[in-house]
Amino acid sequence: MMPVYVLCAILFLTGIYGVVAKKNLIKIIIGIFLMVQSVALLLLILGYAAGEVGGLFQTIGLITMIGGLAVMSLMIVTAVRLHEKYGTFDISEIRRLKG
Amino acid sequence: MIGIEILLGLIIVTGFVALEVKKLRTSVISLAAAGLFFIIASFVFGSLEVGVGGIIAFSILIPLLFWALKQTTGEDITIRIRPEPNDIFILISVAVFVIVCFLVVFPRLGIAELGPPPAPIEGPAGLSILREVLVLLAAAAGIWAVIRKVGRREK
Repeated sequence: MMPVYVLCAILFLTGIYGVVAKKNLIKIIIGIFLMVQSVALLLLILGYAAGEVGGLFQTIGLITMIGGLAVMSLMIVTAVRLHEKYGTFDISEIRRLKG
Repeated sequence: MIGIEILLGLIIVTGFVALEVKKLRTSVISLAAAGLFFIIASFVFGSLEVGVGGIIAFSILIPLLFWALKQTTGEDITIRIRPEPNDIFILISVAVFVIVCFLVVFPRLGIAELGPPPAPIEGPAGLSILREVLVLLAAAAGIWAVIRKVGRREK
């Protein structure tokens, strides 16, 4: 198996580990961004292997990065609002998610 | 392709440090380092679009994270020095998932081997940039809607 694909998968799993095992909202957001990064890198590598520099894979990689940035930005400001309301980033403390 | 493997390894290490460190500012700095390696990897792969997208993404995301920490707190109180059995179980489950993926799913996909870099294909760049700018404007509008104070209904 190609080591670069394995490394991309390990980066994705590092992100999954952050989302699943961490309780701090900022760490969870960082974990999601690591997953986005790994997907963008995988698309780059697939495009490179297919001989398509500047082609479809690159465009999808760019969309992944920019879309990920938009989602992450909204998640960060939502985390700030949650901290204003609950006084913590600990997701086990943030229970009343209504209204 | 040894350089790429080193860059990917550095992204993984800095990403893991960003997740495990107690001080959140250090965590954000580590994420910025991961972003720097990502941008370098993009340019090494010959993808100008993704490299510039990465520069834009990290130049917005890192200051936004610092702003969020300035508004709130700089320390992760949930982190533990010693992992609990639950954390170890999660890590083992994820590792098993990876092994199964690599042994079963990926060989069926027939992923191509990496060779020398191909020649770049020129495309209509203007439309792509407009699309990304629209996405970023929509995100900025969403951020403003969330953080605004005036016009918000408070109890």
